Amino acid sequence: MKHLRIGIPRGLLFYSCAESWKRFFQDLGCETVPSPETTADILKEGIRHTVSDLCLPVKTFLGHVAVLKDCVDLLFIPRHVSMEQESYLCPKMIGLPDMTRACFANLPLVLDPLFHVKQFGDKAIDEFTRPVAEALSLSPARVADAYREHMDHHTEVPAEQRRRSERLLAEDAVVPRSSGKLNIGIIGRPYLLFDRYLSKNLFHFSRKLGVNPLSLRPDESEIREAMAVIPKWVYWDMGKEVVAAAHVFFKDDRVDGVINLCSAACGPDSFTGDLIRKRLNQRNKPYMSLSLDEHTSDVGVQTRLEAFIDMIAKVTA
Amino acid sequence: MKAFIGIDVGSVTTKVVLIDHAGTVLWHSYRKTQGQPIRAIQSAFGALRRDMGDVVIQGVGTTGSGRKLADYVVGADVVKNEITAHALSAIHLIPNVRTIVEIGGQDSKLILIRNRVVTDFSMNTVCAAGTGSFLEHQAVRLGISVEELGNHALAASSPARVAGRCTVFAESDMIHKQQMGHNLEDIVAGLCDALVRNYLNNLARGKDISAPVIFQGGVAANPGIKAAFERELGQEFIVPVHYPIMGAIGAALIARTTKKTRFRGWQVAEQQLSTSSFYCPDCPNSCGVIEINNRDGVIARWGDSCGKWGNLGE
Repeated sequence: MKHLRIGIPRGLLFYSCAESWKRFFQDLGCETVPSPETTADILKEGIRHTVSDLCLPVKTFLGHVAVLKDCVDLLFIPRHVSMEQESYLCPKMIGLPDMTRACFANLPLVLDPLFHVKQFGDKAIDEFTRPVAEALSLSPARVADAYREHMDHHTEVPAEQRRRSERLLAEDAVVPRSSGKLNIGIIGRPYLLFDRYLSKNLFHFSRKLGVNPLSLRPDESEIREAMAVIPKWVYWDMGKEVVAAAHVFFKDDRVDGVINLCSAACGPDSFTGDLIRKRLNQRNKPYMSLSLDEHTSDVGVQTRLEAFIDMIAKVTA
Repeated sequence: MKAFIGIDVGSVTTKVVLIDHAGTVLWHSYRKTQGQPIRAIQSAFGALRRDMGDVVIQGVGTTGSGRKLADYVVGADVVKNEITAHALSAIHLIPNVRTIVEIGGQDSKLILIRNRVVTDFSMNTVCAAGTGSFLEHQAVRLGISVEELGNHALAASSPARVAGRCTVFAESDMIHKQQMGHNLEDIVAGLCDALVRNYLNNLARGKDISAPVIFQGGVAANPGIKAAFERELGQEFIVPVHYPIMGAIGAALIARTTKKTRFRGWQVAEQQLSTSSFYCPDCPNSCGVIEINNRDGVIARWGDSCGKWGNLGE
C-alpha cells in the first residue's frame, strides 16, 4: 500500500463532507491535503480556467484545483449524483470531475468515485469504494469498511447523532429578546455560507452591526416536517436542507428575520428561493435573498444587510 | 437659524441638502460626482456656505454608496444606507405611501411600506440595464440629450419593441429598429418601455406594488419612463418636487435627532484632501485599500476585509 497525499479542493461538498473524507482516508493510511481558504487569487485562478457561464462556487472550486494540482499525488473529486433514492445533486456538481479534466492540463490522477443511490441502492457504497480501492491498491472490502465507519452522512443517521455532530445551531446560540440584539437566521448552501471570502464575511459583518447571526443544518425530522408544508418533496439534495432550515427559522418566534444567501447563477437556488418566499414564509417574517456573484462588492452586501436590519428594527416608524 | 445637512454621494451624482427641523428644504445642490466624490462634496459645501453661511448646523447625515467617504470628509452624525434614507423622506412627504420606486444613476430600488414601516425591498444587483446610466448611454447614441428623452417618448405613436434585458442587446436592437426605418420617437418610447420591463422583471417580481406609489431618483425626471410605468401597472406614479434629492433629504431627516454634532465646520470645503490607494501585500486577498490624506497625513483608511488597515484610521 502506497502512502499518498490526497488533494481535496476546498469547495462545494468539502463544506459538508470534509471531516468524513479526512477520517476515511486517514484510516486507509493516506494523508489528506485540503487547499487553503478561498482568497481573491484563488477565485481569479478559477475564473481564468473556466467559461463565464458557470456559477461562482464552481469557479471557486476550480480555483482550488489550480492551487492543489501540482503538489499532491491525486485529487479527490467524488462524483455525487444522488445521496438518497429520490433526489439529485446539481448537474454541475455531478459533472465536476469532467469539468476539472476539461479545464486543466497536467492534472495528477483524478479519483472520481461515483455515488449514486438512485441507481445502485444498497450497492452504492460498494460502487463508490471500488475505484478508491483500486487507486490505493487496497482490498475493496477494507475500503468499504472504512467508508461505513467514517462516511455516515450518506446514510440515514439517527437524529440525535446528526444533531450532535452536524447541527450548527446550538440552543443557546439564540440571544434573548432582553439583550436588545436581533437574531437573524442565515440560510444557504454550506459552501457559500461557510466560505468566508464568498460570503463576504456575512457572519462577521452581522456581528459588527450588532445582530446575532444564526445558522443550522436541519436534521431528518425537520426536513420531513418542512417537506410536508410544500407541495412536493424538494428534488435537489442540498436545496432540501436550505428549505428545511428556512422552515425552522420562520416558525421559531425567537428568530427576527431570515437571510437566504445564494449564488447568482444557481439553478436549484432559483427554485428553492421561490418556494421559501412564497410557500414557507406564511407568517410574513422579514426575509431577504442575497445573491452573490464575482462582481458583488462588499458594499452592496453591507448596504442590503444594513437596510434589512433597519427594516426589522422599524426605524422609519 | 438652525438647520441639518443631508449628503447623498451616488455613483453618478452628489446631492447635498439643507433642511430645517420641520423637514422643509432650505437649500439644495445636485451635481455630477464625475469620479471625484471628495471634490463634489467640497464644491457643494463651498456653495452652501456662500448661500447659507449664517445657519447653525445641528446635525449631518450621509447616505449613498459614498456615504462613508462623505463622513470622513465632513464629520457626520449619522451614516445611513440608501433604502432607509429614501424610505424616510418618502414617508415624511406622503405618510401613507405604500411603494417607492427609485431609479438612480447606477442602481435601482423598490421599497414597500405599510404603516410607515419598510416591509420589503429589493435592489438591482450587477446589471445596470434598468438605470440612469443606461438611458444616458442610449441618449448619447441617438444624438439627443438625456433631458430630451422623455418628451420624445411622449410624442411616440407606436413604441418600437426594444429588448431590455441587457444594454448590449438593447443597443443592437435599437440599431436594428433604426435601420428598419422606425422614427426616433417610437424608438425612444420603446427604450423607456424596455427599461420599465427590466426594472419590473428584476425587482418587482411577486411584489405587491400598491398606491400611493412615489417615483424618485434622477430618472424620475423622465416623463417617458413615468408614463411607461403607469401604462404597465395601471397606477399613478407620483413624482415629488424634490425627486432627485430624496435620499439626501432622508439622510438629513435622520440627523435631526443629533444631540451634539460632529460636523467639522465650513472649513471642510477648503481642506486639502487627497486619496490614494494600494493593494495590501500581506495575504492573497490583495484587498484594495483606500487612504484619505490631509496635510498632516492619513486621516482614514478602508477597503480591507480583515480590518488591519481600516482600524488604523479609527
